[in-house]
Order: sequence, then C-alpha cells, then structure tokens
Amino acid sequence: MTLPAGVYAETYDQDHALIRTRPQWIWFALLMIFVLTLPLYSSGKVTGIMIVMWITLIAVVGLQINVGYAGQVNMGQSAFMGVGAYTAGALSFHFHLPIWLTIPAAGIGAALFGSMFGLAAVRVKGFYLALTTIAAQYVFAFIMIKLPKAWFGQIEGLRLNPVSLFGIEFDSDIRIYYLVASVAIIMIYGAWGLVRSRTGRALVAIRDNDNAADIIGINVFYYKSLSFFVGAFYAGIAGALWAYYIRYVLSEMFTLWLSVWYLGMLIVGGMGSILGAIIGTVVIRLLQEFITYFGPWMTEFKLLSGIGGEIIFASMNMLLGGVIILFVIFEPRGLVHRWNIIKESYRIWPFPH
Amino acid sequence: MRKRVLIILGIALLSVVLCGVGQGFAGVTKYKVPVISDFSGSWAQLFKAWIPIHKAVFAWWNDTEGKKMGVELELKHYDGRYDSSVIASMWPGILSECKPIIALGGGGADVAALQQRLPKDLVPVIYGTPTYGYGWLPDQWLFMVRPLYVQEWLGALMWFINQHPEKRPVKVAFLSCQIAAAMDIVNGVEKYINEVLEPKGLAKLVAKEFTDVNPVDASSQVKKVIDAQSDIVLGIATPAMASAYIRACEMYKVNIPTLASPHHTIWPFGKAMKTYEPFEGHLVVAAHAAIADKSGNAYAFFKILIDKYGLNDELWSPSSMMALTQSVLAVRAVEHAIKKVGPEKLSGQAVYDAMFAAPFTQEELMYTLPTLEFTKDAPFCNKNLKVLIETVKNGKYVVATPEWVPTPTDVKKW
Repeated sequence: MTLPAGVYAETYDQDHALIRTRPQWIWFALLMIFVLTLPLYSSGKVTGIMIVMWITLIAVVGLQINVGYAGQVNMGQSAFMGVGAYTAGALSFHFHLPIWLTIPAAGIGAALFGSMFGLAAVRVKGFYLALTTIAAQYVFAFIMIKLPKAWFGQIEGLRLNPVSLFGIEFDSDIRIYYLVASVAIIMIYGAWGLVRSRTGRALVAIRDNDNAADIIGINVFYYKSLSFFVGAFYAGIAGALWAYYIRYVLSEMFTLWLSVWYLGMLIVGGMGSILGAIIGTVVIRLLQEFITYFGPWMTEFKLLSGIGGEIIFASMNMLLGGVIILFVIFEPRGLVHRWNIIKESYRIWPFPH
Repeated sequence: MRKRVLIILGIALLSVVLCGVGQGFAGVTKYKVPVISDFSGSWAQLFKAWIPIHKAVFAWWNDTEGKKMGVELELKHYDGRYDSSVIASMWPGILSECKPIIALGGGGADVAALQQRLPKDLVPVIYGTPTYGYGWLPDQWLFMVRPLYVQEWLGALMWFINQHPEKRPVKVAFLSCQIAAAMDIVNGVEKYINEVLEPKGLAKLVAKEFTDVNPVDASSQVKKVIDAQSDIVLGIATPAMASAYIRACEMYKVNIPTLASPHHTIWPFGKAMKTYEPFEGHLVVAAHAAIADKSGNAYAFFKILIDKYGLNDELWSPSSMMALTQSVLAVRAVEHAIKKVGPEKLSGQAVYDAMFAAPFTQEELMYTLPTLEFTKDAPFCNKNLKVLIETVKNGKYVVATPEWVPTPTDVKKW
C-alpha cells in the first residue's frame, strides 16, 4: 500500500494495519456512519437496492479471491450461492437452527461443493476450467430437483419464516439491511486480511505462474483448491443471506447469467483488488438499476413503439457485454486503477503524476 | 381602508375558488397500482403486448366505474426483467413509492421474490398466468385468474375421453421437458391418470418422453410416442417443442393430437407459419375466453378497448388474454373493496378481504373469465372450475366447446 509522504510504519502492527492515517480513520468513520444510518433517512427503494447490493458484494468479493487473486476462472459462483441458500434454508426449515450457525454452515456447504469443482483446476486451466465450472450450474440445478423432496423441496423449493438473532426478528427491510450489511462488512474485512496474508501471496504467485510457484515450494494443488473453497464459502454466505431476505429458495433463482454478471462486475471494477470488487459491484448494480428504470421510461414516452421487445432485451444485455469489452480494451485494470491514479495524484499534488 | 377591504375580499374570493377546486379534486381519490413487467428481460416481447392492455383496461375502468365511485387507478410499470433478484431489489421501492393497495404481477420470478413477504406488506398481487402445483398453498396474497395447468388439462382430457368412447382407455403420452414447471404438470396429470382415470378404465399413461426446452429435433421421442400407440400427447410446453413435434409427425406421416395451453402450440405456430393445418384436430385449453371466438361477449368488451382505448385487433391473442383477465380481475377487486369500505379507505387489506367476500361473476369479468370464487385454501379459484377448448378444424382455428366445460373436482395435491 502506498502512503502519503512522511507516513511510515514504526512497528509491525502499524505496518500491518489496514487503516494507518488519521484522514483514513476519519473517512472510514464517515463511511461507517453513512452505511449504518442509510436506511434511517433513505427511501425503501434505496434500502431494497442496498440489500441486494450487499449480498451481491459478498459473492463478488469471494469471486475476486478465486478469480482475481488465484487466477482460477469460475463461472459457477451463482450455483455456489444457491448451495449456500439451500443449506441455510434446509437447516432453518428442518432443524430450526439459529442463524449464527446456519450462515457459516451455508458457507461451508457451498465451499465443499465448490471445492469439488476446484479439484479440476489442478488439471485444467482457462477455457477448460470455465467449462468445468459452468457444469457446476447444471449439476446444482439437477441435484436440487432430483434429491428427495423432504430435503430441499425439489421443484417446490423451500419457504422460510423470518429468522431471528438475539431476539431480533429479521422481518423488515431495515432489519435485513443491518443483517446483510454487518455480515458483508465482516466478510470484506476478512477478504482484505486474507489477500495480504501468506495465503494471499501464495494465490497471487499461482495466478502469475503456477509452475514457478510450484518450484518455489507453494503447494499448488492445495492453494488452487483453497481458492475455490474460499470463493464458494463467500458465495454460500451470500446465498444464506439471500435465502433469509427472500425467504424462498428455488434453484431457478441461481442462474448462469447471474455468474456472468458477477464476472462482469470484477472486470469493470478491476481484477486482483478487493476494492475493485466493491467498485465493480456498485457500478454494475447501478447500471442494472438504470436499465430497469430506462425500460418503463421509454414506454412512457412512447419511445418503444416500432422497436421490438427482443431488440430492447438484446440491447440491454449487450450493454453489459459492451461495458466489459470497453473495459478490457481501454482499462483492463478496471475502475480501481483509475481510482488509484486519482488518489496518487491527490497525494503528490501539486507535482505531476 | 377601501384598499384593505378589497384585499380581504380578494383573499376570500380566492379561498372560495381554491376550495371549489379542492372539492373537485377531493371527489376523486387516486391510487397507484404497480405492475411488475419485463422491458429488458427474457419475456420483454410478451410484455410489450401486455402493457397497452393493462393501460386500456384501467383507463376504461377509470372512465366508467371508477368515475362513479370516485376512484382513479393510476398504473405504474416497473421493469423486473423477469429476474427474482431485480424484483427483490425494487419491491421495497415500489412499496414506498406507490403504497399499493393492489399490484399486477408478471410471473414466476416475482412470485418467487415476493410470495413470502406479501402477507406482511399487505399487498394482494394479481396474476394472469395459470398456476403450478407447488404454488397451491393456503393463505396466499397472490391471486391467479386461472387454476392449475393440471386442472385445465384434465378438463380437456376428460372432454376428449368423452368424445371418444371407442378409444377407452385413452392412451395418453407425455412429451415434455425437464424444467421445474413442466415437470410439475407432468407429475400432476400422471398422478391423476394413475389414481383416478386408469382404475376407472378411462385412460392410461403409455409413454413419457422428454426433449430440450427448445429442441431442434424430437423425432426419436415422437417415435416412442407413436410406437406406444398413443391417442393424445400432453405436455408440450413451448412453441419450439410444438414445432419439433409437428416436423417429426410429418416425417412419420402420423397426426396424433396434442393437448396444450393456447400460447404454446396452435396459436404461435399459426402466427409464424401462416397456417394452422399441421395442427388439424389438436386441442388447446384455458380457463379464459376462447381466442377463436370473436362473436362472444369477451371480444365485444375487447372491441370497446380497441375503439376507445387504443388497442388493436392483433392484441387479441392467448398471451395478451393473460394481461386482459389479470387487469379485469384487479379492477373488479378494487371495486368490491370500494363497496365495502368506501373510496377513501381503500387498503391492501381491504382489497384482500374483498377477494374472498363475494364471487366475481362472469358478467363482472366481462366474460373474459368464468365466475371466480376465491377461498383461502388456494391462490386460485378452486370451485366450479371451467375451461374452454379450442381446436383446428378444416384448417381453421375454432372453438371446440362453445360452452364452458367443467374440470375434475377431485384433483389432489401431488
């Protein structure tokens, strides 16, 4: 991490800290105040958008560890999320376990499922690994429909009652917001810690050159599997929160298309950066909100007449593809790179960057 | 002094005028009705036809009953992209923006996203689609204008059996796909055939074949259906399946009739190919007015919407019928609620209560639907179910049953 001139660490703890300067603490405090008070003064619309954004963020941060840090292509994140949702749902539905148990259990369930596909990463790379993880989507949907109805409800899915923690029932959007925001903050903090640790450095080494990493003593098999384990764990946590927000779990909710969106968020935000995952999630989610606003608006002003719905559908989906292509061509390091440039320019102002 | 008196008189006059205007406005209470639509998702083409129908029906109601009752319903369309995550994200915003007393739903994606929360949000949501077995739950705030697909199809199957006493037991084959919705229909019909029709010697299941959702070819599956000497084929769930089935039948030079929903086989195929002939003798069934019937009361109502509210005849189609029936039931539900609580005290709870308070008669529903009587044991009318069956005769799409046909009342959950 680059720091403003004159700021340097004098102890190991200082060197290891995520937040080092007073302005950083101030910004962090302001951000936390904003996050915690947002639902109190914002409309239901903002709260709804933010809930889904937090849940998405957890899944995308997990994907960042898997794809951005370890370099393993993963197009099954949505399926892993689904496994987490079903695990949490089934544990709550059948055994009435508390959420402090079911949410981690959902993460572990998804992580074990993800690890199975991670094993393929030891043998195959790139395009072939992408195909393997796409298979996860179909295996997940097939399994959920075929397993005994008493387990996961087959095609009926699972319907859940509102969950509670320490006597607080999460039966309103505001309460759910605080639940998902709290979990998301913990998960993001964990991700930041992980990628700066020995494990994170091993993942980056494998991403950059797995043969070289093997030669210098990194257990490639272990760390590749671990990256899928961790990535899917995050997806599982996100799935559990999704299950408790919607209170209905159905395999059809976790589509391949969702996994593609998540990858798009990484590309736009920037690979290999937790902040990139956050920026990408926010930007793409806002883009999605714009799309959902744009359609009715066009109809309202009769701009749709003569344009087939299939063209609108195609054009809206092409928008995502277009954004990804533009970023790959013009800013392959994502928006986070732009952010870093702006930050550096500010720090050394008035000198040129 | 005179100036001050004039000012006071002016203010008084202005107050009187404003009060008058206010009285005029106070005469009409406005409510926003959100519509979860799809402008940019996978069903955008379908919803493009739904939107003008929603608008026309609500405009018609505002001009007629609404005006009399002092209520104006204002539609607000939202783009749910037929995606549960989008709908889940936007629904809290819809609640705060519209404070809805009723909403119109799009389909399965919003059912999945909203079903569990609606009883707390106190918003009844009306759907124009038929129902699946897994949606057959008590105490729902979702209301479907049509019953289960299974009930509709069994009504038509019973009619077919009665039309062909020489074929008993009628040999039924399934040609379907292994998606959750299609499998649900297969499971429901199969259970009824095995438990009710086969013991009575009325029908038996002889083949069960599956294709892709949008297959390029279904010849091997159709061969098995033919080899089983099937009398009728159920389960076709997409126009692509219908097309593949017809191609295979032409290849094998057979014509085994299919039984499906109107928007899956004859109508879309006829529109695309400009002929209904390949579907000669095939059947479609729905618990709403027949599209093939342009001499009935339902079309007469639609004609009003064409003449006065900007619709066109192209919109008279099976898929648009879902939007039409959905809208008509919604405005009548509001109307029932107004009669109970008055125009100014409408709420989601009042509309919900009104759904069960009295039946919605065929006349009220402008003959687009049979009389509907909702109970809390199902999100659809589960009493006196009736369907209309259409077919192709001499190359023309016609009504096979001019009168409503009853469906079996002994269908159990599966």
